[in-house]
Amino acid sequence: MEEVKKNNWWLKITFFFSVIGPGIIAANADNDAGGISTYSIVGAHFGIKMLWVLFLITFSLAITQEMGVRIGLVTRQGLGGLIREKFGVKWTLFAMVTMLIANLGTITAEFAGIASAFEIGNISKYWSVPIAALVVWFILSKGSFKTTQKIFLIFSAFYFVYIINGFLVQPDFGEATLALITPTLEWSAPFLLTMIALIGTTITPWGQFFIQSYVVDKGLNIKHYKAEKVEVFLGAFITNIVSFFIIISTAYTLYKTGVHITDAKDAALALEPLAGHFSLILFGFGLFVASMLGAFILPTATAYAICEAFGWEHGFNKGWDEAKIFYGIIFVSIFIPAILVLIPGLPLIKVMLLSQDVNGILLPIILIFVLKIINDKKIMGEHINKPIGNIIAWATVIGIILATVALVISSIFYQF
Amino acid sequence: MFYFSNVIHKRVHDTNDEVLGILTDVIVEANKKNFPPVIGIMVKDKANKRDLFVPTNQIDSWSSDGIVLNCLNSQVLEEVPNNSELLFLHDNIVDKQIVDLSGAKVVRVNDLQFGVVRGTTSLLAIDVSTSGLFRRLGINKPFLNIFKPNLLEWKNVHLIGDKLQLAIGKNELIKLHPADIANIVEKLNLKQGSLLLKSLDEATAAKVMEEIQPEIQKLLVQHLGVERSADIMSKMSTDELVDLIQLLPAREARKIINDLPINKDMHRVKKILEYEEDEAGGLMTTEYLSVLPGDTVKKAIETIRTHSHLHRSINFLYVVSEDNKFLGVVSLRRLVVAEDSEMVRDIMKHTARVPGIRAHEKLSDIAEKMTKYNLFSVAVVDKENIMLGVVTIDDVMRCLFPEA
Repeated sequence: MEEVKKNNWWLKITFFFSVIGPGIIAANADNDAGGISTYSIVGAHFGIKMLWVLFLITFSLAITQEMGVRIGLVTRQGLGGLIREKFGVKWTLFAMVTMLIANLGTITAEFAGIASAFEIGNISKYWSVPIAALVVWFILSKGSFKTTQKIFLIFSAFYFVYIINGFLVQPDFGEATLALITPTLEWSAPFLLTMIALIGTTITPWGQFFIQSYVVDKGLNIKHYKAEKVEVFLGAFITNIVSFFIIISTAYTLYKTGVHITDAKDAALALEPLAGHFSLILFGFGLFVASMLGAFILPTATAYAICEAFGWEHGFNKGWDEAKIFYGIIFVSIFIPAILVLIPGLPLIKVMLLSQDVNGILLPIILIFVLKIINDKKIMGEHINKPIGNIIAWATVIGIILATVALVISSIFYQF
Repeated sequence: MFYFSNVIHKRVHDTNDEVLGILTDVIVEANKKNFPPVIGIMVKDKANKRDLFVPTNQIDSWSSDGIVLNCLNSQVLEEVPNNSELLFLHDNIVDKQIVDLSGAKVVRVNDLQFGVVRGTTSLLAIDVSTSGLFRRLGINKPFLNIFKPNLLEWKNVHLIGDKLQLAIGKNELIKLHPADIANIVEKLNLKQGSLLLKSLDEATAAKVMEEIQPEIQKLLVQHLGVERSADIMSKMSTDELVDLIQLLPAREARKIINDLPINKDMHRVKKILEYEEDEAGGLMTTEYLSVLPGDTVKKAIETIRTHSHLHRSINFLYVVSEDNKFLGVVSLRRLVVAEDSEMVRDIMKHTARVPGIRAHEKLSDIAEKMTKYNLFSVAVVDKENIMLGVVTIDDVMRCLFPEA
């Protein structure tokens, strides 16, 4: 058995991708339609003022994702099921409604992203959105979306063009680095609104559910913990490097020239130093791919969590007759957002940003559930949180709540 | 009749209408009876910060308006009886997953139904329906009747709580097909799954283990530990055992091999382990029936009669020489139509018409040969033509479609 096998290297790579995966996938899927528009707006409207927030939430993202992985590895159960067992029906309903609202918001952002991407090519949203929704529904209802998911995931490596672009715009890296560690706050509603969206698009309620079930589905156990931890931290780091460069790219182009982003074409301008006239096509393609990836993952993640919590049959290996509610939730969470996007005159960019605000505002609720579970010795045994994890996670929760309160107060004095 | 959702967190009064506290749990005696009797309730007395146990004989009535005792609060002083048969329904059953034995699936407990059976308040049924879910939420509207009630009887469920190791439902559980039990194990989390496996006898556990997906098999073995795994694995068929051992990391595999009882043909197991998984040697089973060319048909049929229970299916008898060289095969059909006194050598098909394959031949070659010669199983030989084992069509199919 110990003899060297010819196909050893291939096995090693397969192993790498089978274990090293969830953190990077979840992190990559974070850069969806809501993500790209929010980061673009952060840079275009506020320059590098919010980089310090991004720096701080990189740690929050790493810690919260690691907690999801750990809970998954120890309990081998999804977050929905655990909430039900620990908190009972009423709290579960509360958690699920919270997640559902946040997820419907994000799915709406994905379809808004698809609409915006096609509007760059002058294709009306009344064509692109219904067709995209039908394609997503068709592939999901056939249950054969794993390959599709991988294809979109590979394409979403598109974001790396922002890193190259980030150098081409000749930013002042000294200034940017300083901004990473210099807290700057404006007590205005637009600033706070954008800041909460920045947090809400980076750390998401669905991300918590997604990474935990991913770990469970992959059949990983606590022995993989060290590898997973490294991978999750790496994923958080990589995804926020990309976010950093998206912000830089827009900050040193659009912010400098005073362009306000009102549609996708404006955001695409930031890629001109790299792509010139192709920037529109490049941006449109990236936005489309990222939105489609989200449109596949989110309805599925939503349906899994709800069905697990309430004990309904679920999974793509079940037929329609067995798992009506499961497919029903997927159907509703594709088509309600798609129809919303079709409302005439809807400002798509605003929809993408506001949906991330909804995520950000609701995030503390989900994080508190996660914290309660991970500090429960009966559930986690010796793997409960260390103080440092609790401190960072609670700081995130309190930070978002304070920002939300500040937003509510400041918007009373602000005329939109 | 009343539901758990009607009484949980309701006030408990005494005969003077004084409040004792809030009902926090209902306790039943979890023995093998069809309807487990309610032994008592747990009451939280917030004012005095204490948890009280009230036995059933002090309870006068149950209703959604609250529980009324037949005595004074001061008369309640019982400690929780120390009895391992007791089951705390709120802590261990409600909102947890259980196995529905009638449907062979894992479901979540939404509510519980109680009623009087032979003068004793007892647990009648477990509600796993969506209407039970709404009842828990306090929503009870006529339009909800579209959700059909789904009540499971106690004898038709198997509990899988992490700390509970009750024998309830076990007898019913082993009546299920091993493949169904395997599906259930796959659905549970690792702790619960291995507890369920442990609760089965070794022979059943082995059959179930054979049906579980390889990835989960591997996790279960690691979770069960070497000793317990070896016990179960020793009851598995040799080729399934080999498949499983091949999945494990080398160190663990060695430990388990050392722990397997001697009666298991370890020589064979080790032999198969020398080959790659997709080679004939790795795919083959060493369990096959062989006869000598000089045997009579009568003796050959006798061999099948005495050994058939050891084999999943028998298509051929393999004809080998005294020194175990592969000579040919006799199909069951040929045996059945032949006279008892005929010799195997006269009715067998020789290797020219039914060739064997070499141990290092790959899956695609095996599949090709089996298709070409229309074989359900094919003999595996070494370079001296010594017979090593057989590859059956299901081994090939499993390798081609691992997910099925």
